[in-house]
Amino acid sequence: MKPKEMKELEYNQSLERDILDALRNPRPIFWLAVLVCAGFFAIGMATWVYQMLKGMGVAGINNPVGWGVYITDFVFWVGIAHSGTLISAVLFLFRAKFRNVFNRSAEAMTVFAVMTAGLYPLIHLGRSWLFYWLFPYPNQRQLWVNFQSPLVWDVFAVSTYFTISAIFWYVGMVPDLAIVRRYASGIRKRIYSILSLGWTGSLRQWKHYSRLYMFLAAFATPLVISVHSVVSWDFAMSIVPGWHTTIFAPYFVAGAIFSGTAMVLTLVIPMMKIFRLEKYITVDHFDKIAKVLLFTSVIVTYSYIVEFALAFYGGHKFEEAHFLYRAIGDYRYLYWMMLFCNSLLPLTLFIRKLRRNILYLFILSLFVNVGMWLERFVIIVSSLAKDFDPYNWGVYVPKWPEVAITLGSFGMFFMFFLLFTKALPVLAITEIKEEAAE
Amino acid sequence: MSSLQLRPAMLTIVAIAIGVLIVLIETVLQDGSNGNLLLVLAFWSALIQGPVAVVAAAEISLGKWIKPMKKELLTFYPLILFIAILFIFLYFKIDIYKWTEIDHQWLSKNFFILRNSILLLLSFILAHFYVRASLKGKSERGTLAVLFILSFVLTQSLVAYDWIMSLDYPWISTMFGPIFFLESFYAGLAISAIIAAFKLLKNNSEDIRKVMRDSALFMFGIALAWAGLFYGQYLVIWYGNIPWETNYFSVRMSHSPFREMMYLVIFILFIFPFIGLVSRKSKFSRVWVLIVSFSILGGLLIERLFYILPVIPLNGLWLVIEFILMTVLMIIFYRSRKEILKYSE
Repeated sequence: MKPKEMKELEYNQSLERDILDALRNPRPIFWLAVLVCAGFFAIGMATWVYQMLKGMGVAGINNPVGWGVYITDFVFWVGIAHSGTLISAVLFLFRAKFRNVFNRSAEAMTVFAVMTAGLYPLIHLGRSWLFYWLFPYPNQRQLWVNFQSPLVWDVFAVSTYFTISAIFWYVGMVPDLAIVRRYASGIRKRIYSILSLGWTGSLRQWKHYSRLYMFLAAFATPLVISVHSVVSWDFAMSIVPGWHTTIFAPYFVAGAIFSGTAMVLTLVIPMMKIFRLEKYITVDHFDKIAKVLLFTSVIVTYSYIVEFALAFYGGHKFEEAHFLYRAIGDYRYLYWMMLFCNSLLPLTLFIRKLRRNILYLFILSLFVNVGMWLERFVIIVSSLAKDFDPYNWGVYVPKWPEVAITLGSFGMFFMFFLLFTKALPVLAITEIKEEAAE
Repeated sequence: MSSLQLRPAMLTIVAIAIGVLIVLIETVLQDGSNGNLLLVLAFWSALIQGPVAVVAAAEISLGKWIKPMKKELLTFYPLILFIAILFIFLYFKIDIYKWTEIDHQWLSKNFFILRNSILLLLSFILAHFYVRASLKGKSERGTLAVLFILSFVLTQSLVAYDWIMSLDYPWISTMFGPIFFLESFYAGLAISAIIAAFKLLKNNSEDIRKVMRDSALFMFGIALAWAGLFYGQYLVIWYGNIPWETNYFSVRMSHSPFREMMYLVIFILFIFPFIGLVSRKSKFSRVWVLIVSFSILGGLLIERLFYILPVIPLNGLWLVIEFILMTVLMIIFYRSRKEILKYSE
């Protein structure tokens, strides 16, 4: 064997060993983290049950702000969900090799985030057990869903998206599952054998696999963009000041990628440290993903400027009043905090040193997560709190059940992600091998 | 064609002569108020900035595909200055805008001309430094590429919001800006594909074939993105159903020839490149890529006509002459690229 081939083999073996090590022997700290997350999740679920028993009155949403924290959470998680596949699929289509260290986490994040997001329309319904009324099915009452409603588009869009992103995630994992199968024993071996679908790594399998993966990436990209556009149209289709603006679709898509990239950093950085994966996830990889974060931040900022400027340019009184209200009204602190987190702080990524500072990136990603949640809150709540009719103005303050359910959703998301790191390979082993070979 | 290769001094004289001719046509030879100059500026600014933006974007994303075509595309950057100077003469045609009759802080004659000229000038300066750094392979080329892209986005956004959208003041659509800078980028890719296709006539190099393929691939992607933005804009306005907002489209969709123009634009900028470039084979076909690329440029022209024509008339004969002059100018610049880039370095 030639020295180059020897070196490649050694690298591949150490990669497999390190990834499989991450799957074995969870330390007590891991179980503690799972317990904390499960605790939050349990509190959230219990609060939801309490809300169902007592009625929606326990939440802060009421007239005029009928959409509050629950819809904010929905849009936030749906944004996170959309970005995972988008980051993975778009970077794949652009042949960006740095995706290989992020795609598995990004896709897992997508699946868990869309599951979390899916809960919110049910929570927001009040009578959650009637959720199936959203589906068009033959029934004796001759009820039929309103297909003209963007909210119904949402049901179809998000469920289609969940299906595709789960398939994309799973298909991408099949060769790696076969590697795990090789090293596993007992019941685990049996499970991984089933999951790896008889993968042998033959030339024929690779040929079909590559085609399928390319097809899924090409299919997922426009799908994600259209699905998140539909989410933006939940707002833009109305004539409420601050919502009815044509730029909403690309603005929401860019915002989704922005928040999702930040969430990927929030998840991957601790994961890298805990599982000691610094050898594979290098500073160069972070440098590149930080550029994606910066790029999307600039697009989001552009949208902020455009919608603000055109409100005054057009001279429409309601639009002017609304944007002024955002900046100096009841939610002004949240608005300025949002601008600080989403527009100002990410500009520091123009400095190369900061793009390559892992701790800084982690802290920045937390700020961006907060900023993007605030962005959704500001958009949703400020428009409803003060629309056309002064008689119908009011200030919304979330109540404890909304806070508890929100924390519960974070608990659920992180709990699933933690379990994922112990059940499935956290890095795309075959793709990293391929990259190293090149 | 070799006679079209000019030295920088001669090139400057030719550019000035063409500029003077256009100004003469606009101010002396034509009667009445029309939107010829606005159309010339809006269309050619997209075609001139687009190719430079494509190279800058590829530079930022470390895309190597554009390398064999880099010099050819960067050669158009001095024309940004030409557009900046020509724009000043729009002052004499400013009465095409209805907002000149009202008191508006943003939309005032002097400020309108000043901000757009300065921005175009700034874009030219940034392009100049970027081209120099890029050709010499300097380390700061990435930063300069980012700065140029920012100026490009701002300029094309103002082309959209200031030059075109304000014709229908107080109608607004926040999507106008993104549509326009995406279209300029689309034009840049079409020009890249056209140049690659013509170069393949002389030199059947694999690198150039790949540039043509990649340009076609990006055009295919942008066709989808364009359709998304155009549809996203239309859907929100149609669904909102606010009279002052829908009027913009109802005027353009209820009367001939605007209605036909709109369908033609959708066909040329979306359906045709989408279907035409979907197969792998089509992206390698020189003739086919040329047809699609030229049709995209034509589509962009029709789209601008679709926006402008319902508001202000155009003088067809003089417009054709102005477009011929601008085409000649671009060809001369392309032919003289070695001299231009040597000078820039």
